[in-house]
Amino acid sequence: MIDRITALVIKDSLEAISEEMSKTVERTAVHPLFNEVHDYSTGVFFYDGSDVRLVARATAIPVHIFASILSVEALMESFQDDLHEGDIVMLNDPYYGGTHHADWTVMKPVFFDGKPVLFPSVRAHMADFGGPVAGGYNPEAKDIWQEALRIPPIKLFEKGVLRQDVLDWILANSRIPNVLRGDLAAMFGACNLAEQRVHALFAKYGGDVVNESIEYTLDYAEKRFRAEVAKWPDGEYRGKATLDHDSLGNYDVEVQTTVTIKGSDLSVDLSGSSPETPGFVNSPFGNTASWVYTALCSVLPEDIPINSGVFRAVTITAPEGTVVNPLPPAPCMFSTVVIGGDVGTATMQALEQAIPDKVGSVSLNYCLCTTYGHDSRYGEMFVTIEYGNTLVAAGGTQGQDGWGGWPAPMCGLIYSTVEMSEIQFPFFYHQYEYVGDTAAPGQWRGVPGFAMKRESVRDTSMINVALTGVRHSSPGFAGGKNGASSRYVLNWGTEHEEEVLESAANRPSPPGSIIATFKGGGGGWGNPFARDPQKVLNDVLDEFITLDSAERDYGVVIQPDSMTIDTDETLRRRALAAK
Amino acid sequence: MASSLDPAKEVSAAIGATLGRARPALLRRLASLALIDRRHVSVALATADGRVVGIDPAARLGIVRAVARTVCDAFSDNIAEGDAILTNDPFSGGTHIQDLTLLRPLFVAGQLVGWAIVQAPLPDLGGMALGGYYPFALEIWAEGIRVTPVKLYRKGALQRDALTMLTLNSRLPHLVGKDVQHMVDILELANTALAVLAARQTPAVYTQALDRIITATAARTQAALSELPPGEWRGESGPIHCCLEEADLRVTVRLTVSDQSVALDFSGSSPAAKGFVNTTAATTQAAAALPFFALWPSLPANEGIFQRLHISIPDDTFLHAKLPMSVGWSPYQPSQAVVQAVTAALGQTHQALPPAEQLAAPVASPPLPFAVTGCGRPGCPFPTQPD
Repeated sequence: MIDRITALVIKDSLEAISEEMSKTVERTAVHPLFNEVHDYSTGVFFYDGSDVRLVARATAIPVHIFASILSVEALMESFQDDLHEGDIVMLNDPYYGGTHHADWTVMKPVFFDGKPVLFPSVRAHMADFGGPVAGGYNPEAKDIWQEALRIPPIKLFEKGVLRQDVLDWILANSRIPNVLRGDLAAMFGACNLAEQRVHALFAKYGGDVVNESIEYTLDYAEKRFRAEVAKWPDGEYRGKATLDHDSLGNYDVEVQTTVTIKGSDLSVDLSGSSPETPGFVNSPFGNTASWVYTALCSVLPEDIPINSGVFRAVTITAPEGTVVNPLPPAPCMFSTVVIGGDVGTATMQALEQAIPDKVGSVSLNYCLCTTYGHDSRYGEMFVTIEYGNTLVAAGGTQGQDGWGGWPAPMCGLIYSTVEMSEIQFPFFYHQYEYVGDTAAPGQWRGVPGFAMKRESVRDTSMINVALTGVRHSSPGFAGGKNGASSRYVLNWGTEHEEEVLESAANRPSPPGSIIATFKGGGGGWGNPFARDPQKVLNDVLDEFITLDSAERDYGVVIQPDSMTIDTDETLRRRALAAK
Repeated sequence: MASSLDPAKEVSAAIGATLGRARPALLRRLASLALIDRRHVSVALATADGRVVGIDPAARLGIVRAVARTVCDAFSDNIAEGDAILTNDPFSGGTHIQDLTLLRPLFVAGQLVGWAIVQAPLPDLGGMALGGYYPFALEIWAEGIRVTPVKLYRKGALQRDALTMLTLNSRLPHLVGKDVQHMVDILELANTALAVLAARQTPAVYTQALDRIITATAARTQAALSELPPGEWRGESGPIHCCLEEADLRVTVRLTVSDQSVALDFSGSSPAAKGFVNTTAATTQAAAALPFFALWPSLPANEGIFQRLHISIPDDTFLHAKLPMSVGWSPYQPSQAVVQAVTAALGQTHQALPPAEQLAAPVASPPLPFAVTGCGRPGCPFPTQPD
């Protein structure tokens, strides 16, 4: 029986290895999506001879790292007895344990006693990988081949030797191959470094102790998770989230969840969700499971390790052929954020009925904009994702207003600064700020909405847009209100001004043209009329809300001359509302 | 007079016999034959450094020779017995995404003595349109995936993951998988037939024989070209429609015949287009040579022909497509236009040319198994779909 101290040391070692991988990638990768935005995740997986387990991960994007379990499983299935020391495998295909084509997973089997045991892994959002639309998000895609290059499990390194022809093949399908080469090198390097660290761990403790420690860590996480679930009331709880559209004229796409709690057992059944859609929002099972886990992990105490010990305690059912478990060749490029976020929201809405004090927004209600073109300053092509038009989604949760940008589970991702964006891409930002009077009311309010105006400078860029959160904005919880609707305008302020209501593909943005956007924030939590009046006053003073909104949405009356709360009137208003 | 045991003659006869069996055998086997342009199915044999020594059909010589040279250069110090390389990449000597080339080296007594080459279209390789013809493609990646030269076999071992990646990117993976296997099998047949001969002759004699075949053809080509009167003639094509351009494109060519050489210069042709009528230099060269093949049909189809024909294609024209231009339609209307322009110039040298239809036969528009929707403007060769 392994002692707890050793098990904890080894657990933390594996997490430190994950963190070191993460820093390696951050400091050596080329595209700002890596070194500015941090849109990648690192972790270590364990193979016990029959199953793959997530053992450790660095601060990461949840949708990457949870789905990577299926990628490692796909690797094992593809190569079985043909894995060797020095192999490095990569894949991106959604139907091989991927999520969407943008997310590439690099894995390296680390051997002990002649068997592959641990798999350091990096999963990253690559900037461009071929396909008819730069950046891969093709709002007109009707099948998966209209999205991007599909990569099944393929060895980039075999016994330590690079397969140059295979790498060249993959690079040939990117619009920015030199950037991709650099980013891949960073991912390979991180895996190689992790292999060294894992070997050192095995050398120090021996294989048996490491294996036992891993099993202990998984068992511990499962035990803690079950103990938590056992505190929640038994029952069957239903949730539903609705996505505006799938980009191909299919509206109100639904995710339905039934969360069943019985003692320490928890299951999530997504039966009743919409059939798979023509457009690119279909969520492969790995993506769906990731978002269920995201919601569940968000309601747990933060000292519970997040690994397969938690995941194996949850039964997830997602019928094949639905939008949450599509069959090939359904397109799925947008799924990591929508329908994925809707899976998270629906799960939260179910949990709201059991544990309202713990729930909140997890989804992004994403407004997508990819831009590509030729930057004449550098004589090179560029492809990038704009975050300024989708910057806010954090909602209120008990004890905390929504703040910053995205909800906490997605905050492994950092926005690049306006200054760096203007250096790296032919953009100039005229506006990049919160908007007053747009935060979703709640006892704990959501983050304010965000406005951006971005001008193309010097060169004509091409823009692709897919907008959600217009008709179905971020929901509130426990009586909180929904977030504001989002907006998107091309060629703002000109006679060609065009409001995008759903999507737009390959639109030219010549020098001088401006995109003007507004993104609604996450929903509020709790009855707004229960918000501490002092906080409402602070919000007015900080210009988050106006005096009128304070009165209308929160029942708090503030004297405009003295900027003090009229306590009596506030109490009277709130008592009236309570009747 | 050369004896019947002249190695070059023996090799030439063996090449002819091998090609004569191989292409029909491949055509009988191809699972996707009903969905592809069978004129693009070809079998060829090349020297160790990738010069084509024989090919069936002859019209594909210009296309296949460019791929062969590119692949040989790319793998010159990294080739082993049992390897097989495939590529469809227009920017690696190819034409358009659909045409897949597979090459296998022939080793005798450990020495590389030549290559067997097969080219056949694939019915689909991803991109926006089933079948790969998308008139609104702004870039190559809208037409399908590029496969730069990659080893399908290494020392006799199938690279399963590479094959899976190829078939995964097709909407018709079963047909693609089967046909790649058929191409591999035909290469094996071709190489086996010649391996026996090369072993008997010895590698040194065999490779010398290949060189002599090419040199002899070059001499015969020189003799044929010297029949042309010295001078300079210009030719122009008819309009080429592009769904993404307002104005039609045209090919202009200047044919210059002197004592030393016969040269074609495509300066003055239209600039690069937004849509899929751009044409790689290899494809332009191949089309430009077709009227000469027709003029002298007895010339053996091998590298020797191109040694005497100098073709200049400025890289700012649509005839010298560069990454990431789309090129899907290049074997058809654009190649027809090249043939037209060269024929117009050549016709002024008072040579008796075959009828235009015969000249254009290798590049005539193909039957399209899958619907291709165009812009609907006058001159567009593609139908629009009714509402």
